[in-house]
Amino acid sequence: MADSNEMYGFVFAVLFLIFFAGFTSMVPVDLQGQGSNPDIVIPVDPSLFTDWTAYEDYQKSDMTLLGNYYFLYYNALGSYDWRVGHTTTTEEFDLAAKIYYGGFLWLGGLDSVEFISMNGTNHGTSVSLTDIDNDLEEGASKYNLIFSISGNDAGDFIFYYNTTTYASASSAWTNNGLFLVHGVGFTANTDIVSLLFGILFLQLPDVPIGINLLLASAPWASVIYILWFLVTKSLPLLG
Amino acid sequence: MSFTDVPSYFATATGMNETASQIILSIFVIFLILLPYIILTKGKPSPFISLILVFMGESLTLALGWSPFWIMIMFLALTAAGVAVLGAKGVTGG
Repeated sequence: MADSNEMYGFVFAVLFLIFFAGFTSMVPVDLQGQGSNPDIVIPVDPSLFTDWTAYEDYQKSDMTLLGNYYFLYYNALGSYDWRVGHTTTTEEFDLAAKIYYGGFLWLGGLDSVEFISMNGTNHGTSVSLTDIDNDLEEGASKYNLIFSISGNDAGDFIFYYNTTTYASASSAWTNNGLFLVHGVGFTANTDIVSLLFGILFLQLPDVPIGINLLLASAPWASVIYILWFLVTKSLPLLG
Repeated sequence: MSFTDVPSYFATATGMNETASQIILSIFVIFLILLPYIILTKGKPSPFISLILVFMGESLTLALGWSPFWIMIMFLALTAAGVAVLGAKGVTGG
């Protein structure tokens, strides 16, 4: 027979899981999570990207040249402060979010993002001008972004230029005609199961991994306690 | 300017991080909803009704895009833990 403390813990764990899953399933559908909607792309005017809640558009003239080989641009977008760069020697763009300790202290840490083209090719943490030309569709190269550490959604990125005026992305970049747009949006996550799995398996979109870990720890601890309780009470030698 | 942009303007005006601005404004809204009830009950509010009001305030700030949705999940986890404590005490007598 289990002592009262163990039984108390068991009942608590069971009730916690039931109520947590029940409450979470009651969260209004349209409020569950931020993400991005990759379907709306009109590479003419950034104001037409209506499905993004926020975006930042810039070009070469907005960026600062550092040491004659690296163009740099900082901006705040969504929940993050971003750094986008272009290395002149390799002709590659990279994008990363600043990592703040305690929510405010930046010691230079960056969480890089990976560029995934519309055909599913993951270009890694940098995308070259050649890649942009290869991925060009209707005047724009569009990428879904994920954080390389957590795999969480980091929005979308679009490179576009006037294909009549410029023969290639390289030419457009040289002449300040290549436009870069980073957008983040709001998408309803209509599937409650994916939300619960997102909590448990650290896959919540746009949620810092530490927060996700905190949210996941209580349900996992409850599951482990229930399993431990059931196993020890069902095996007399262990109990 | 829309309601959704208020935390951005607040963050710019005060020079603080936008997330901090969102959280401060969300707490302010939730407190505004809770305050009349606390006054009406002369400082002895029912935890159950308080929870419902906090939940309403949290839903409002979430709908406005002010608070990140994980705060709602965290609030739900705390509420579930509170209910589970009551249930466990009731079942085991502890």
